[in-house]
Amino acid sequence: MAENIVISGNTLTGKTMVAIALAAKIKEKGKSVGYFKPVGSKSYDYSTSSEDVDEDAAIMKELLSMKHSLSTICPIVRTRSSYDELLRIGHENLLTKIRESYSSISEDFDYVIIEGTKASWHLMHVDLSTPQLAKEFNASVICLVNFPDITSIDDILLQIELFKQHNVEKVSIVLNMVPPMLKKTVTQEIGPFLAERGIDLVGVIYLNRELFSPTVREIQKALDGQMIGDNGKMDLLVDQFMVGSMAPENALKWFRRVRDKAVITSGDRADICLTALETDTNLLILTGGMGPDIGTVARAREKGVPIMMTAHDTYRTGHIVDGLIGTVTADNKEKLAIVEKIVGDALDLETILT
Amino acid sequence: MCSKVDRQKGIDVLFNPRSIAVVGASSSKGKLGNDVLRNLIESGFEGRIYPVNPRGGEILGLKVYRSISEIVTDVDVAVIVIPAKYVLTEVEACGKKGVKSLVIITAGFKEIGHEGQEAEKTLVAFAEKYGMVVQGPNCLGIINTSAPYNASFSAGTPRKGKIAFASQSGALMTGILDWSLMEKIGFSKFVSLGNKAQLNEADFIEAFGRDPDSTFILLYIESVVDGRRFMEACRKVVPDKPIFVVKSGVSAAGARAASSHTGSLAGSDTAYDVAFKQCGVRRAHNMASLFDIASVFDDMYLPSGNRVAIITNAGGPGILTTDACEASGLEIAQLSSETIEYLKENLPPAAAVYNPIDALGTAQPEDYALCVEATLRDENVDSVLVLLTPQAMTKATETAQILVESHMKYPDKPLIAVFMGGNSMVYPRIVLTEGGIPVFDFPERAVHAISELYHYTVNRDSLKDEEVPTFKVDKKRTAEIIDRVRKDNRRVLLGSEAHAIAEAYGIPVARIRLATSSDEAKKLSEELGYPVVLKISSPDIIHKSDIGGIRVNLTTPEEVEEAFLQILDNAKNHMPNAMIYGVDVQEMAEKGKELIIGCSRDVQFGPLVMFGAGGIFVNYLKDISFKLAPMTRSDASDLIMETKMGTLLKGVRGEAPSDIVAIEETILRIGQLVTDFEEIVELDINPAFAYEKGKGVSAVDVKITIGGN
Repeated sequence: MAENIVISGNTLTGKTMVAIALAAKIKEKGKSVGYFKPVGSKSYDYSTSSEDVDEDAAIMKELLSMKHSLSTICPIVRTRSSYDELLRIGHENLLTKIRESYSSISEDFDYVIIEGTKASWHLMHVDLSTPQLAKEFNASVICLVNFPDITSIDDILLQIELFKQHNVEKVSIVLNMVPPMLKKTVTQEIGPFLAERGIDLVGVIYLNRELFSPTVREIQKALDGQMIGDNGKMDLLVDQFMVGSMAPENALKWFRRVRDKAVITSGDRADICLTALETDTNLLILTGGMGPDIGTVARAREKGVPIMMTAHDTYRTGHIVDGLIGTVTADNKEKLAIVEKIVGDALDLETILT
Repeated sequence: MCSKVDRQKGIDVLFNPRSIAVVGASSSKGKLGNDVLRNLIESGFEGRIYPVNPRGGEILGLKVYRSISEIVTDVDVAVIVIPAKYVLTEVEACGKKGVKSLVIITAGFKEIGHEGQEAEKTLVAFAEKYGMVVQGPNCLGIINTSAPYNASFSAGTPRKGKIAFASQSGALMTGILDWSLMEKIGFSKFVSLGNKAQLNEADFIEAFGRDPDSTFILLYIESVVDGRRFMEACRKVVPDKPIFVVKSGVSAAGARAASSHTGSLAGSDTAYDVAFKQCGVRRAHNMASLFDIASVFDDMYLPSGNRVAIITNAGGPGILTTDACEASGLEIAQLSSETIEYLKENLPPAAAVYNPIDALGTAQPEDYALCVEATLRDENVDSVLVLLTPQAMTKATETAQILVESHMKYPDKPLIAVFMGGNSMVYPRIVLTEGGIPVFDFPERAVHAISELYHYTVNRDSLKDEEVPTFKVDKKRTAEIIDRVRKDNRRVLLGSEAHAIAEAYGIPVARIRLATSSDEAKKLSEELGYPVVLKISSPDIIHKSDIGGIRVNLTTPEEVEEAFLQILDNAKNHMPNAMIYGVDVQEMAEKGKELIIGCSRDVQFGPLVMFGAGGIFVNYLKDISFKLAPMTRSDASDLIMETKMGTLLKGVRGEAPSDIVAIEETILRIGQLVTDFEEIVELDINPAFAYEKGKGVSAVDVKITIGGN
């Protein structure tokens, strides 16, 4: 019988990142690990006409090289077509499907990481909320709580209370998205406060832009961009975007402030391109369909910086990349390594796994 | 680029070759290989010339060798003028042959992109393996009038002279050459720098400095390869020979064009300006001005001072010239009483005998002669400007002849003619030029040229071997802070970190401590002492006051608590994605004169330190000045005094003078900091408050950015 670990929390990509870090740690111990997401939601990027697919399930299947079908890894995919799409199937039918899929996965692994619904209380209407599933699988729970400021202390207590109500006792708290300024407060005050109440705090993930940085590939997809020359740098992460439309002597000052950045400028601004290449730049985005001059291409090759051309103008480009959040995919080794390192280091995985 | 090759020795061979091979010599007229060989033969080179071409035969009466290895005797210089794809093979063959210096005229290297750039690197590596120096590639060649030889594809050979000229633009050189033949300006060396793959401007400046045939150095550049080496070379040469330079790419659009053309980021134009000043190089702002100066220097000695005598036959031009002199930093000489008496006795009573001397419209050649010779004799005069306008009784040609004779009598003092007019002045100007007297059509150009030569002498004399002061500082603590920031993956230091570094370098600061809770802020306020200032601490928030991220003059714990929470709320509302590290608590500095002291690391020349009037109006007042670090005490003092703020600091309208010594020391300590820590790429103190003499300064807001690994 596999050990079950449920990951719960109302986060954007936090749960998957914890799952990745946790899986890496389990594998390191020489144990096998599988992934199961009882209820997911339909991703239009990953779904096909014949199959509704949950994005996390697709990523984790590839990442853990699971042979199970996607419909086994995530048996129920919510399409959000109507409020009662799941009610119509009914709790029992849903649970049966979940149990069947789970048993086919669990027999192959020492550990199964079970990812909860988006928020822990979701699917309460069909009695399949994360606490109810945790109870069903007799799992230990890692509960992620976003902690942007000290008022979030009550969110922790609410989560604990929710799991308690469903008689789930083994709940460990991980604080997520914690601003660096709260480091002292969390270690010296919040930790002891929770300990006094018998709550295990097993990790603090501080706000780190690297975790959400998009890759050159993701930017290219978003901008419908065309790469110039060497495409070997598609997995490079871009931490921030800067628009280069200033005089070059001012550009140097601004460009120096940010590392791992993408600079968005027009192809005819050789001065801006060369200034950007002089500083810590991971990508040049040339807008308006204007290509770079030969000097820029040569310098970029020398520095190993990829150049992308897009037909969008600078404003539109800035607007598109502004909301771009990087995800983790199996083929992006660089991002995986960062997630495993940052999240792995932030969690007391030994405590979680015992 | 570091290599074992002795570049100066290589250039010596280039300047004095015993034999030259032309690899790619051609029998077809109109081909570069033909032009180069023809120029070489026609320039009267007395050494051996070896045309090389796989076809063999004979070109222009010389036996053609099928390869360089076929040549039996030694070859000192090889001029390579073959298609780019064959160059590497030939360079290697030259190396094996034992050639010392290469002039690679062939284009198709760095300027055509990555592949060309790689080929250029290989080319240099090959050359250096065999101990050869390389001029070019992508250049016009070299002309050496003292050897003499012309190994270029230029359309002519310049006159022999004392001016050494190196240019990053080959095309510009051809224009200058043609013009110089008309103006009778002579050159000692004419070097086209090309892509500067190995030999660059610094190497040639050093070589021109050692070259006995060159006494004056002119340079046209779009960028320098190595700013520090360039400055070192110039500093070495300037005490003996003037260096004048035109550096293009001054305007933003010009800089963009230069970047596009050279494919490399030129340092800021300000940095070039400062670098030139600090190593005694004079910058001409256009080619016309560069060659105006050259034409005066070519014929005359340097002026020994700035006192000018003006001789004219019309009032208007005399006044114009006087204005131009004043504006250029030249002085209208106070003539000696002997001169004045002599002029009174010999000129018509209506003539003006004080400087400017107006010999009237009726002035005859002999009137000019007596005025010119009197002023050339006068010890109160350092140079003489002679103006002539074509009036009814004017004898321009005879006057020109008289001037030539006067100059021959008194050759030590610069004598410059301004013959205003058109057709009637063509021949007189030829007489002057032939007679070795520089002549201009308008007075401003003449004044500019003489003033530039005078200012060169001032710069030269002010270059002193002054020591760069070093202070006792805490380098270890600074290194620790920088290390921490790097580990945190940041480029921008928090206020508390930047101030701690300033403190470690003995720069007086208003102390800052980082608070991450309001309780901590209150505790720190007690420690620092009320009143305090609170500022948001985030590398992402640059203009703190714009988002309500600063509160000043907080006097009680309650005010501190309220301000702490308010500042955090403001930051979260206005910049929700900013990474916030807390709130800085800072002791409130007493207001003084607001200064800005900063530093930006220039890509070519290193730390460029700035000083000026500070506060929020910096960008509008633009009362700032620059110097490159490391700096001497005189540099720091000059930096302050070059600004209007410098004058205010001395105390005006009864105000007590400020503590200039403390400001100088702060500047020098910053200079030391940015020299010690190359990773500091930007540093900004704005404002720093300056107090009354003896009361020091206080850095209120210090910002530091560090560079990549």
